[in-house]
Amino acid sequence: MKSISLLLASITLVFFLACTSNTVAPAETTVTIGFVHLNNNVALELDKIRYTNSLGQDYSIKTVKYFISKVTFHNTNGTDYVSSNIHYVDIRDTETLSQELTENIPYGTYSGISFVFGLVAKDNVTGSLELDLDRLMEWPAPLGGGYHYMKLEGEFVDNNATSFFNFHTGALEGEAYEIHIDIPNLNFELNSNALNSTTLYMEITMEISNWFQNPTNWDFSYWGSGIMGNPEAQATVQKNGQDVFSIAFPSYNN
Amino acid sequence: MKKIAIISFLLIILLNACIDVETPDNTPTLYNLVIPEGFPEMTIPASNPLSIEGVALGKKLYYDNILDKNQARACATCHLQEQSFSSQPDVLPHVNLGWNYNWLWKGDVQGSLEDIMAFEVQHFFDTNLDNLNNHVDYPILFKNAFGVDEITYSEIEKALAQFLRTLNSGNSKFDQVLRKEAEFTNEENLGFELFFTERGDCFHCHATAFFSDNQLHNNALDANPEPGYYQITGDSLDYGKFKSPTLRNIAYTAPYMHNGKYATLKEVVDFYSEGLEYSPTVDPLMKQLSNGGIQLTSEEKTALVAFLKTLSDTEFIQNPEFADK
Repeated sequence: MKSISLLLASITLVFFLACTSNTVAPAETTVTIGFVHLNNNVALELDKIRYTNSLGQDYSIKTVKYFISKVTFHNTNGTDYVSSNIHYVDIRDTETLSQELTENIPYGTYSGISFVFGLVAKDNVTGSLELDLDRLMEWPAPLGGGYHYMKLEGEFVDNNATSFFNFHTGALEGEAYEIHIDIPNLNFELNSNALNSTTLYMEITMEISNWFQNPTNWDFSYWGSGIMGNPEAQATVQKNGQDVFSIAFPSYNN
Repeated sequence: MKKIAIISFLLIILLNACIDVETPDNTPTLYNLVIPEGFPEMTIPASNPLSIEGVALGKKLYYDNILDKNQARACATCHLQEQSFSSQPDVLPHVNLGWNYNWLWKGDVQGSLEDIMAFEVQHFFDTNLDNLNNHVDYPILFKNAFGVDEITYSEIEKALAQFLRTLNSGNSKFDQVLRKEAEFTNEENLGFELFFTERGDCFHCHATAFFSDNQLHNNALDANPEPGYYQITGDSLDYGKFKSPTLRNIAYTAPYMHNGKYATLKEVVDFYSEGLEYSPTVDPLMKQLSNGGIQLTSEEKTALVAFLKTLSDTEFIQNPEFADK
């Protein structure tokens, strides 16, 4: 009788331990990225000519469609966690404004995050993305093929005349022109205490006005309505884009 | 001896009975859909795989007035093969539809081919199912294609979708040039360059491989545009938007635009060159709106028309597989 009781107690203990070990929270977190768009630090208002660039030209924004890829978490132990996701963002499509990474990110201490605005060469291949993006973001073969990195469109006013501009960026004449954004010194912890919820919510913010300044004040009249075939314009956009993006963790405890 | 004979007789009857009750194999035969080279894979719903029987049935229905409640017209009444399955004045062509998801000029329907066929069968034709269920041929054809004893809208829509997924055009001179089987003339090549750069800027709305982005735009056609997509969404930003039609086989599909405004390709190119009209929702892709258009030279206009004609696929419009017979 004693031995049976002992056996039962042992089985119960093993079962309990097994259950307990299954309920231990995983040492990693899902990551959700919110894509935010500002102009002059205020939420972007579409379709109204209410913005003015550094040269005094009034403009509006009507279209913001772009790719973000290679989102990378830099652990202080030297390990980089690179997401495989290619994020397509369309400001008018709310479903694209919040996207979850496919891979979870391990708990640990992280120094910063980097990502690519646009696509790296191996991803910038016509037909490699889903059909809808193929049709929407095609960068045609005579210009080198692949995809637009961004379609930023709107109206500008010059000499009291209103015209459209198509600020379309992509690879041209063998130059990739993608922008590597590195945001160091974020210095954050990922662990169950630091996170408010089971997911890490981070925001990548695009400050639209910065596309049109620093280091080059963008002259809508000079560059004209379209820049896809203009390598000088693409290089200028690449330089202006260095300070367009920022990252924040709105619900982070630290 | 008599007993043996009776038993033998009964056994023979039983054997015959067994043979008689054996279920015939009604499984439809898988249809081998060949996708043109350079086209992406077509997504086909698992609930409606293509079969030889289904495609044949879809074709029969396509050419039969029986779908129409009044039995006065068929799909093929307006969708003529020699015109890339379109016709005047504003009938969109039935070509490469297996990759579409926005349907009709005003974007009335979104979804799969089965979804748009549901609209056509149940609303446009207002099909009377009794006409099919009481027909001498159709019940067995539907039985063979879908295994059903009673024909419903669902099987009609599936059959039509199956046939339409076979109407694929990918053997124009443009395709042959891509496959290095042909070469453009100098004029066609200039048109190609214009089409696929911002000088002509056709590609943004007429993207390869289907020469349509499958989206709706206000292309500055009229100063006072018709409501278009606004009638579907109620969003004032959608006023005047219409679907970008495919330009494949465009030489066969005159007249042009949703309202048949232009009779020839030359007129269309003239419009984009200097005929744009302002209205509040014109797409910013029409970036030369303030100049009235892209201001092509006469040489460039001729070249653009020459390139557009390289999108003609004569094999497609003459393919007996698609014809009524």
